[in-house]
Amino acid sequence: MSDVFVRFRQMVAAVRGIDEDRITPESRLVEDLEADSIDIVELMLDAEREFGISIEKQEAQSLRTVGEIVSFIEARLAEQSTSS
Amino acid sequence: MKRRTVGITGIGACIPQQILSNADLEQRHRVSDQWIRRRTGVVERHVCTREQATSDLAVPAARQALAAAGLQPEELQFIITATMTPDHLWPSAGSTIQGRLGAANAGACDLNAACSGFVYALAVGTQLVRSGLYDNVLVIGADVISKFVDWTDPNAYLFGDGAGAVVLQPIADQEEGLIDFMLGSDGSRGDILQLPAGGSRRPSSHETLDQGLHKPVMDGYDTFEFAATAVMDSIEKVLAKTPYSIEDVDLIVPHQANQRLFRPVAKWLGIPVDKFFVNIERYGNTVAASVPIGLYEAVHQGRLKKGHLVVLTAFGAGLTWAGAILRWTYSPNEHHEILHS
Repeated sequence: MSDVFVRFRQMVAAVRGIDEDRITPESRLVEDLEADSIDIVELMLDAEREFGISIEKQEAQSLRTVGEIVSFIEARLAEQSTSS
Repeated sequence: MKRRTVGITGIGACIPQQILSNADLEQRHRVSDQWIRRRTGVVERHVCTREQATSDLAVPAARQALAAAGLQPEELQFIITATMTPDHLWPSAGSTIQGRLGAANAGACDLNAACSGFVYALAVGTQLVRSGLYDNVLVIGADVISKFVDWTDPNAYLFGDGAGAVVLQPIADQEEGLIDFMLGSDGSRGDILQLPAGGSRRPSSHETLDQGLHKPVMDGYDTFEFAATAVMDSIEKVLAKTPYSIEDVDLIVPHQANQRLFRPVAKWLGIPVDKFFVNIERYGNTVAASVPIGLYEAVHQGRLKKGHLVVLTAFGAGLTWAGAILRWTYSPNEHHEILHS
């Protein structure tokens, strides 16, 4: 399990008020974890603050599973480390 | 000229008598009470009758604030009304209210910064007193948004009508009163929260009505993201102008836009969520009235006491956002429920 996954899973658990055990990379935010649109904005803002990245609305709305979001964050972090 | 210390010396608030509950909305539209509560935190809101308008709420709130300050209407020198829903496009609500109050010696105007309007108007009013130009200024936040929303659009369920008013006067130099403000705007993103027609760009016509352009446009994702960022920015920036830190703040009275906003913001600020005064469940989002109604209730419920350090934060169409920091200096002789009109 990557560090980003562990940290992002904590955020999802806190926002949704559920156990971390319920959250896998395959979990779909809306269908499986019952996140609504406001939960998703909160999670994206959480991730922006936690990882020091920016996530556009279109990007946020194209990501469905926890694993997809984690991969997106990891890619952003990799871009930042190569450009700096 | 010496800068004077300015304080709030009287406060009043008024909402319409008529209640529109989630149960009422359930009967009229295909929506559930549970869905509205989860999305917004609103349980009921007060809305004007067909005949009522903004000044019908603002005038009782203003009279109550004047009585609390021990002022007669003729002693007022300036009335500034924050509103985006005046009784008429012109004259201003400020002048309408001035006339109805009989404040014959006061200048009057409106200030439109949408939901941030009251904090903007408080900043302007404070400077009028601080500079020595005036001694008795009335600042009002009042909106009747129920007449402008589309009740078939779920975004409408957030809103309600109301008015609040405060009197600003010079206070003793050794007190702090209204300490500082931050006022922000980003007009380049104005389209995420907008009423497209009825202004000079697209005056009301049969066409604008047919095209549905008299309904507010509100992008949920963008609006929530903006609101969360704006609350953080206004609180952090206004505190940075003072020697105080967030731990020194006794109470934050925010614009009541959506209950869901307060938990994440409290988390990011590292403060307990109950530092935010929240009453959205009973009134909904009352636009420019929400901050003064929040102040009124916080005072009359004993949550806000003389000597408390208070932060106000508001954000809305424009985009605009605003913060204020003040040391509370007013305590009412008697505790009153909010007025109904």
